[in-house]
Amino acid sequence: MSYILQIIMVSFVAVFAENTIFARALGTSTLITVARSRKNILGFGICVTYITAVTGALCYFIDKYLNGSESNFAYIVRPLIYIITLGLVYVVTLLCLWKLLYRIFGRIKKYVHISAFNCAVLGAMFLNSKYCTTLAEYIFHGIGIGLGFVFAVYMVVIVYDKLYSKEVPYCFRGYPLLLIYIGILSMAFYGLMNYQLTY
Amino acid sequence: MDSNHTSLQSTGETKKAENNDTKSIIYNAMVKRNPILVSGMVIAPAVVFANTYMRAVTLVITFSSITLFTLLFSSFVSQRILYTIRIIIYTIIGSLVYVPVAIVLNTFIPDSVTEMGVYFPLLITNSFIISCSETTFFAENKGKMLIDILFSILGYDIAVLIFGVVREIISTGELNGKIIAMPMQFSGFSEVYGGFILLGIFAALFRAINLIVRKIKQ
Amino acid sequence: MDKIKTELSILTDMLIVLIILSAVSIYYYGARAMVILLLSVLTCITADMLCHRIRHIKSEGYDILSSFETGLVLGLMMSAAVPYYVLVTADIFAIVICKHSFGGRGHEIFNSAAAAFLFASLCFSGSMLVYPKPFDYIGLGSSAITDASLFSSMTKTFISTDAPSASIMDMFIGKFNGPMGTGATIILLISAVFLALRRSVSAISFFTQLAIVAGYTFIYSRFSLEYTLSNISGGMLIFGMIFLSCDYRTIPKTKSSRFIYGVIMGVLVLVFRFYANVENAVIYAVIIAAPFGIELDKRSVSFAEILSKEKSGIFVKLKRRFNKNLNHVGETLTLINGSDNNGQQSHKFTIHRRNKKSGK
Repeated sequence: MSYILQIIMVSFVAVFAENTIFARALGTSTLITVARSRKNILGFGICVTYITAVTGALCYFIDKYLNGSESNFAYIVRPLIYIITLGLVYVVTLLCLWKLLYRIFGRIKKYVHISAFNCAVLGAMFLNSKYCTTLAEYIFHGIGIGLGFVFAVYMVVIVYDKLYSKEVPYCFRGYPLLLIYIGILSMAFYGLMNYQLTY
Repeated sequence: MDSNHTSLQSTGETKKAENNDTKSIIYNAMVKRNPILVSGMVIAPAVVFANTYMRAVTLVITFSSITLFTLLFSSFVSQRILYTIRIIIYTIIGSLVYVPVAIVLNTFIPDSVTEMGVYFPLLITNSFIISCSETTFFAENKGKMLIDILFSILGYDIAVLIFGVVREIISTGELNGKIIAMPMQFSGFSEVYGGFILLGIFAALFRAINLIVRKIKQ
Repeated sequence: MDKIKTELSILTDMLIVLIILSAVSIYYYGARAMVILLLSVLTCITADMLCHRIRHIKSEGYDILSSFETGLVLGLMMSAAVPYYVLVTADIFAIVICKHSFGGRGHEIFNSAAAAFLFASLCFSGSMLVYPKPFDYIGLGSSAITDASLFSSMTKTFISTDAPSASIMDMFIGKFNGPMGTGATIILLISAVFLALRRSVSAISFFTQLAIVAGYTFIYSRFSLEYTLSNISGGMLIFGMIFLSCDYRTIPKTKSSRFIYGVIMGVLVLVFRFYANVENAVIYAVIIAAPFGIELDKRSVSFAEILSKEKSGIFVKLKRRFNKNLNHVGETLTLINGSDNNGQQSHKFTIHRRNKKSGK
């Protein structure tokens, strides 16, 4: 029971306290692209969470192998291996979608494109290997990071038209105000964790 | 190309036009769509990591080397390959470029690289390589592309350096160990939220300066 | 004509309560409290006027009143020993970054005083979150760093020891270490009732928040009145609920969304207070709940649009009752938000309701 609670805690912390955007700023440029439309959220959210979960599971086995081999160059090849894994997941997912759900493939395709290669997903893989030990933790931490990213996107989508409205002075309209908005929210989420984040 | 065979006057004109072209490319790359202050690319390491001058220098070195070589190598990838495969190839090139860069930097500045943590390998999937390569860089011919890439990276570097310097001064009252007389220190600006807010203010100021310059020119 | 009068009346009601609280804080902390409040108000008004000048917009009387209110609220939330530069920084942050960069009065997303207080407390936590004892009048020139007779607030000791450190009577009248004007629980409760009766503060939202927080604490502490009271009176909880979360500029406009907003606020306060153990939980909660308030407004407006097509059924009636736009405040805000996207929608909505009434 305590084990299950601990796993739930891991994903909760990843969603709120150590949110990818508000605490780590990973994938902010992806957020700017996705947050343009409210329609994107659902498809994007499912894709990101799916990919972080699957890569999290694969990460576990890679890390087991990499940490087992006693070479000093693990830190150099790790990104290469992660990227290849990510690429494989990406291609396999697209192929599966194409075979199984050919009808809606055209609509889903773009979400898979955005959500596969971004800093948040690759960052999730690196952070997994830093914080987690068991397979379940890897998977749920991955899911937490994906959900946290979606949560951040949602928080921006809610006020998107306010950030871009005509009432905002020209110098602040859009991107600068978006950063300030994320900054102020990030201040509030900073209160949730009473410790300094390591990265 | 044809200008060699035509009259002197026209060669002059074309040269002028080319000059203008280069100028506009440089202007576009550094000011009009400055990577960090206007387009919002590669924000994460700047906001989280670059809170002192030395850290900004580290970021500039790592970012520039990885991005420049990756873009140069991946410009040789044929555009006929499927988009999905192409992106994977770009990032694989990126992670291959990462290997020598990491080895070199680890021998010269090991402490700074360790400080950077996950943000160093994450530069492989920055928006320059993932999205900007497709939309702007590889759509041009090789010469223009080189200028564009070089000055985009330079624009990012200058912005990040200024950002790092200002951030260090207002958050600690020091610059690289030397104490600068400041009435007060806002320690919050060295944190992530302070980075976001300060970057937002920077972007707004950049827009304001551009606006004023444009008005003066008219 | 009606609309202008309501905004003015809300502001004056708020200001009356705030001035009473200022008098209390001056009684407790002496001349320095008065200097802090005056400085805060003056800085806010000056910064606001300068921003209007830079933006080439004419400054109205309401702008001055609004920044007057922001300044007083910020000043009352400070410690009586706060260094003056911290106060000025917070004021400028509130007006320039949190108010004018978002578009000025009526377009803020976050409550400017809350965001500024949060920023200042994170930046200068060492000199801001330490408090003198009441009736311990300190000199005008002294600042928190040099003075030795400063203590952490009652809430902080309460969090660490889990036992109240002041008597019930002291907690009611606000005689404990803490922010200047936010301790006097009895005055705050009376003024909350007064403001709710005057409709300057949304009653449904305020009492939902208070009930959730007080109820949970009461049950959590196994029905100990002292524990509950020290939880409510400390950490500027009631003050924050009246002046920050129920602020007429950032609160949602319809009844149902105000209720849901209140629930969100209450839960967030509890999370920050009992899970994260922060001192001023209500500030964090206000910041995070603000975007949800905007979202709720949009949702309830679109509900009303859907409902206007259907005509009968209990469900429809219930929803219509809850989506009723609140007479005064809602219309005032539509006037302020006039050209805003969100504002336009609700403007349409109010017009629609009026037509319907006249049709009946």
